Amino acid sequence: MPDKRGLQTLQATAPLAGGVFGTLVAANMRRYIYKIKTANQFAGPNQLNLGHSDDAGATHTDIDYIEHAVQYEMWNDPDELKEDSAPLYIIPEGSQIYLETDAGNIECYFLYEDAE
Amino acid sequence: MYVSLLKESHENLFLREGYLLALQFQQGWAVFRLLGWEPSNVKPYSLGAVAATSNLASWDEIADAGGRRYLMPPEEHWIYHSFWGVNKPKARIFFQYPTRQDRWNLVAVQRTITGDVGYIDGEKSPYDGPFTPMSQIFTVHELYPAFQCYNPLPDAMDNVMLNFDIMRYSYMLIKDRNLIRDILTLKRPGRLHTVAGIDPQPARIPDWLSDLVGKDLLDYSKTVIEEGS
Repeated sequence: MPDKRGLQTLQATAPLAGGVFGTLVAANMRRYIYKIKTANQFAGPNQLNLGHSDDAGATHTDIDYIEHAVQYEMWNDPDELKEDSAPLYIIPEGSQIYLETDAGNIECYFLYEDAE
Repeated sequence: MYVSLLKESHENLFLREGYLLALQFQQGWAVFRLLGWEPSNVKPYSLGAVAATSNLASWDEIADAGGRRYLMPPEEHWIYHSFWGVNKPKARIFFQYPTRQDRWNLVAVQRTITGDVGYIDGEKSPYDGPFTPMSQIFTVHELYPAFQCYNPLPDAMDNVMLNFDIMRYSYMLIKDRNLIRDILTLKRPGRLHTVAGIDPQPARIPDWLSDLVGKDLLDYSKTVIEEGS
């Protein structure tokens, strides 16, 4: 469960072309993502593909898709992070967060903690 | 189903008036009766920022801006008893006691301050407590530890901080051989503690304390422990 003293923030602009964001998860660790907030900057429907990549984005593994119907639509999960919240996503060791959209940019914010 | 794991508070490990305390040094045991106690703390003690997968530039002797060490009694007639916790959870705190003597090695090769051996992190000893009993330190005048931090994460730690609970004891030195024997053979309840560890040796007794105890009693205490009578 999240420890407030160990939480890190990450802001990323997810592009159409896709890419990796944040640091490489250290050996024997996993990156536990406890919160995600997104905002669609594209003037139309836009899907965010969230995954992880261990080769700087050359290949990636999908984890989840977040849909946005209109421009400036936001996705905020969870609204309120609790002490006993389970992680939403897990990035394995040696990997980075991978983000890709199917239209224009999506602004993203993450709260995560690295732990064994 | 919810399971609660309760850890005993380190505060229960502090001693009180009248308690008997035996500290093992390299040259033998010094045995004390505690006369009084007074709590204090240092919170936060900032070790500073630690870059990703890096150490601090140097060992930190936990001192104030004037270089006065918080963990070392400034006077000979006090003993300090400390426990400590760590912020951040993954900050690994390595330990030298006395300074330049690495502690908590495990294999024949001396542990490094970047490895997975011989440290306390903020998960083991949380900043808000209860602190792990492994963080226990007894210090006397002229004897003090030093701390180092390693950040194993790929993200920088903006500020690693320690939280010390420190109990200051006044004491009377026990020179009665029968009482010393009874304490060291556990016939009288008392707290026995090896100062700094056993690898390669416990800390050397400071000269002033060695003079106070006397070589005869130090040798006698070792004989009692070795022979158990």
